Amino acid sequence: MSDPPISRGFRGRKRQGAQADRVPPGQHLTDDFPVLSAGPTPEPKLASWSFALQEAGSLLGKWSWEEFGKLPQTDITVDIHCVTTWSKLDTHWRGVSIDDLLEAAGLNEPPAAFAMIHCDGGYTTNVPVEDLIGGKAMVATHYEGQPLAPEHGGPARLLVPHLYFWKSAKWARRLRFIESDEPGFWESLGYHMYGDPWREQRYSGD
Amino acid sequence: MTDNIAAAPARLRWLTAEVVELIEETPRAKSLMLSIPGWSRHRPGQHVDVRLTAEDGYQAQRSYSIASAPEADHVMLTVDRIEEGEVSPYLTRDVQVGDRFELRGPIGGYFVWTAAVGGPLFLVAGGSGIAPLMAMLRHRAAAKATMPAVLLYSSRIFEDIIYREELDALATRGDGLQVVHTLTRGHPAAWAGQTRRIDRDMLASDGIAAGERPKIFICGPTPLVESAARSLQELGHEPGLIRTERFGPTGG
Amino acid sequence: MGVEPGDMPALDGNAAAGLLSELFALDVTVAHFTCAGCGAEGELGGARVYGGTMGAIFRCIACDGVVLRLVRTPAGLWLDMQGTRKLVVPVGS
Repeated sequence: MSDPPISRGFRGRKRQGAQADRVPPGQHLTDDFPVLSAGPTPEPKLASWSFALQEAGSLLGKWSWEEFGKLPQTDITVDIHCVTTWSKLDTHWRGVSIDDLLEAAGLNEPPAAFAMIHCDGGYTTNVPVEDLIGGKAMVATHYEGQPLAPEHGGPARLLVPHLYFWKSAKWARRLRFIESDEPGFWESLGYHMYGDPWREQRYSGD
Repeated sequence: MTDNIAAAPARLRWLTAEVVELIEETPRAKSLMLSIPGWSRHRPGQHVDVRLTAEDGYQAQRSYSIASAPEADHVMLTVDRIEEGEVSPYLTRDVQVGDRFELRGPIGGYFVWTAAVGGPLFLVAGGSGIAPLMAMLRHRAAAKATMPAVLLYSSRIFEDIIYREELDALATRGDGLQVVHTLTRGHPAAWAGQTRRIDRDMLASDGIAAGERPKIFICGPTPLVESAARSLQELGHEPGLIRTERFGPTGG
Repeated sequence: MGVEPGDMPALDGNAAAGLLSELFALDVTVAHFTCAGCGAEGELGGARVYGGTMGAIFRCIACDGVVLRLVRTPAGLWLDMQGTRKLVVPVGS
């Protein structure tokens, strides 16, 4: 098969090699915050919103919007990396860490090794619990000091910044602990089960 | 509308397109006339995927509507420059006659109209959404068709109207085509067209009535497309006669 | 057209015709589907498509249920059609 013709003078976006200490391989920096969704933006309904922790058939914890707001709040500044190759540095988020959620539910330790996150609209994603605790993840309600906009996942989204951003599930409503890893929405369609941007784990088999 | 039109074979190869002519349509929009060995004739409304390859092998791909009639000698793409974009600044500023890039198409049998389908034809365009509808109108003229046709075309300012002179010429052929322009961000002193965003009243007063059962094609930025489609249904047009092509939040 | 990746919450199904053509031998944007969720019928070209450059997620305009999902990975094309009760593709005689 012959090589495609080179488009004279086309440079494309500046790509960073793995040498750049903050930009994973194959990514480029953006100042925007592109919106990518697997479905329509759900209407935010705070009066009926809740976030729940579940395991098998049991409810381990559940918080209304008002109750959620009273949990310990954490502010973080992190870089985020989308599998579609954009990276955004120094983004500011506020929310409730998964550690604090577990504590609020009276759990000394997570009841299982993996988690599936369920969202309004049916989106799901799977994350090892090890990658949710120890300050690595939160349920975020504020971005850049403002309530999280609906198209970016408001009122609340999971935030797991050290993995590709499809894992930071928008419109998150439930975190269900599971014994073994199962593929969520994109993972069941060929995307990587884990999704480490630094090892460029975009697709299954990477 | 196209209920009985068969699905065409889909298998597409990447072809090499060569730029044979560049046309500055407006300060932001440029048309590229292409020579494409191996090209099979398209139907008005279809699009192509364009793929650019940098020297280091990096590739970027975007879709563009074909603006030319199938009867034309060359395939024409009209590209609107999005300043922060990766591909449109290259295609509108850097590309020279003789440059080549990969192209796949023609693609998409859903957003298609040919004179054989009949009319009346009711076209609604926003900004660079005019491109696939222009292919339909150019084809309609080439086919010497006379079914009633209306184009309602929204642009920001006068200088942004793509194909303005050609549309004036098509509208004065006396073959049943009416072109209505609306400018949303300012108009010249002697402007006789509309001066606001397309809304239900304008679609009713300047469009084709629902009772005529026109085939409707709407193309442009998502907000315009959704609003027009909704309004047209409220005016009684059947959903099955309305075909839309959203360009996304900001347009092509 | 020409929209930058990640910038498109929803497009018409026709926009994903190129990706579909990598898998299907016929142009299925004119194929009629029956939504497994609500029973509504439509043509794939008129469904709403999400997913940006991650893949094509076709949704029923009546109930927003997923009708068809298609992703191209370097190793292969992944197709999920659980959301379609049937697909009818018109062919010429």
